[in-house]
Amino acid sequence: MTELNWERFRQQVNSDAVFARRSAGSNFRVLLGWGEEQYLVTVRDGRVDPVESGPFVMPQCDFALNGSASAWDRFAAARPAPREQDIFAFFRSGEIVLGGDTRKFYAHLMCLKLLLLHLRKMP
Amino acid sequence: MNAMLEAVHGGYVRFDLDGRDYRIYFEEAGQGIPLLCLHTAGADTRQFRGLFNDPRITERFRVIAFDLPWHGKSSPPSGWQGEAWRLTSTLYCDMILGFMRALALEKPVVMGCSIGGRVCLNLALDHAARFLAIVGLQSAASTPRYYDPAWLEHPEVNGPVAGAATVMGLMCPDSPEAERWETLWHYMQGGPGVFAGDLYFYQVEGDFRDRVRRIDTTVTPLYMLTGEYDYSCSPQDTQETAAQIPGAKVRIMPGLGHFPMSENPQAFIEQLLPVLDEIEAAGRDATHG
Repeated sequence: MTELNWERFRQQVNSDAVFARRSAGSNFRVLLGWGEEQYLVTVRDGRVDPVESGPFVMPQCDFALNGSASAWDRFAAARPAPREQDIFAFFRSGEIVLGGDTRKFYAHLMCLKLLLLHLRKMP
Repeated sequence: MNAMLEAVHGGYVRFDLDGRDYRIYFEEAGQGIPLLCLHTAGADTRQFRGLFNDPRITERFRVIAFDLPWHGKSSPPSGWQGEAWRLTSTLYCDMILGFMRALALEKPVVMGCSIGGRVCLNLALDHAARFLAIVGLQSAASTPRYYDPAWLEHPEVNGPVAGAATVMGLMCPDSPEAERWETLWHYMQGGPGVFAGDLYFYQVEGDFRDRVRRIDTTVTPLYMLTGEYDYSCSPQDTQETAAQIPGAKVRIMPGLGHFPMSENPQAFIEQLLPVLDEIEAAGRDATHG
């Protein structure tokens, strides 16, 4: 996943009117554990800050989503296979695991899901 | 300005269950064989708007759907403010049968989705003779608990919005955007704790695995239709349940997810029409045979 242009991702998310409306006021930091890679995504007042790439030593985050590179690659596919279109599908299969503050995860779940959808809109 | 008055109309019916007065909202359209539709957890009758407005169905079927108490425009019973909504198998079946009695529905086809698909199994086991046919959508005997809906009731979580976010990925990404967001809007309008209360039945109390084998489809035919994108009630879940029910007829619906009738009504109706044709023909044969 090293090819993913996170700055372009950030700009794409921040230019999404639906994301802006549905994520207004959201504030959280999520650590994406993408196989061996780590990415720290910060949403501040409903906008995405520049994404930080790991490796990190004890990163400050509200919650983390850790999965295999294969799981994330399949989730992020432009046209995901049936039953691989949502992180909850990978929760069920155990391929992506939630850690950290579950309350914060649920409080910002709509924002998070709209954000993650942009992974599959990247060129 | 173009205007179009839909054929669907709504009303309220009141009836008692276990000494409590329920005020239940329902909608209907069409004429013919009653087709009683059961919405998913945390939602309401609007999920069936496509069926209400398709003359290929309403010319032959009287499509009826009701909001469970606490859902949509149905009120919770008096005293609700001190209670938590918890759907159970007994209450769900009693509510369906009570509604049928209240509207004097004789031998309807019942079609329910998700929790409605689950309760179709209860109805097939304990009340099959009351129905002309039973159609379970996204129906399986159980579902694994891969998330905890208790968080949807946390005071620092906007439950209805988080509930919508929870289910948004259950739909096929190719389903029309307007229909997907309409489906989510229903969830965002849900009452506090209602979706989680339904999931108590879906995830915990309504586990039907120990009774599946006792369903007898010679009494009433059982159809099980499941969208291929659903990971909550997956095609495999449905097929594993159906494999234990001799005579159950399974149809896996391509390009559809957990809310087939709402996320893509047109695609769903194409899948449903052959089933309704078969039910109608069988009903006709039974009448004339």
